Amino acid sequence: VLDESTEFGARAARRLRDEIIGWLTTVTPSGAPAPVPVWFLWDGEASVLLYSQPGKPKLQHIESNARCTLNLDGNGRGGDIVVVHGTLRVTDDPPADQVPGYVAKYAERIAELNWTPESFAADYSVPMRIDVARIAGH
Amino acid sequence: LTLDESTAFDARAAQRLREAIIGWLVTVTPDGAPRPIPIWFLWDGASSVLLYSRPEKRKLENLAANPKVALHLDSDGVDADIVIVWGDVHVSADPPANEVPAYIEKHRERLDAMGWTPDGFAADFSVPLRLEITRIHGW
Repeated sequence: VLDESTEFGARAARRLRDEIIGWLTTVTPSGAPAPVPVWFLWDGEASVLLYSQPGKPKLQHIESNARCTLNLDGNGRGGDIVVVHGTLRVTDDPPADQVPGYVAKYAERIAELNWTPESFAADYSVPMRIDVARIAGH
Repeated sequence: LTLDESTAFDARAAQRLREAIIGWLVTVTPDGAPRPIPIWFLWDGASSVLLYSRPEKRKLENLAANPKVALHLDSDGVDADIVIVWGDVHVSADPPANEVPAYIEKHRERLDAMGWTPDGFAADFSVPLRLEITRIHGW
């Protein structure tokens, strides 16, 4: 979904790999967008792995409408825009502490927030994936 | 709705809503997909945010069918400084951007950087919109 031979594709891929926070937006049953900051692990292709605490609104939202976006922060001046468009579903991925790529990306934050990978995985126990339809930006 | 600027979150949120140049306006398409776009905005310090759109933009179609939106600011990249505004957006009778001194003042540096005069910007972004805030949330 990203052509990394283009300037945008290369930059978007680097940011999707490196950035800690993405803004996941689902849509409530009444049609309101609901953006929340999330941790995420992009697989380099068309799938993004997330973990949710149980009972969170986004889990209810996707029961009636699975469409979502994940946007990264901009550069504060209107540039460096990366928006992932897709659909969100609960998956049977292993717990976060058993996904080395996820633990490696978030090890520092997990430690700073006084979690272990195991306790994080116990709190954020619901694996989810965005199936990416396209990645837009500039 | 007003922020209680005697609390730490509200004071920080108010400062960022006054100073941040870019917000992410999220509308919803008629088929239910969210559409986040970066946008300039002017908060009135209370419950209203002034925006301008180009006339042909798809967000106007989305808003005509569903005025519910969110406007979030960038995070600090780690996990703090989260500010999310919820509300409804409608086309408004506000004057053009070049006749709103606070809007021009806030965005003067970016206008200059992008080679726009206030008049040129106002001609391009000719549709005034108001976001009526129902809730401001964050941490």
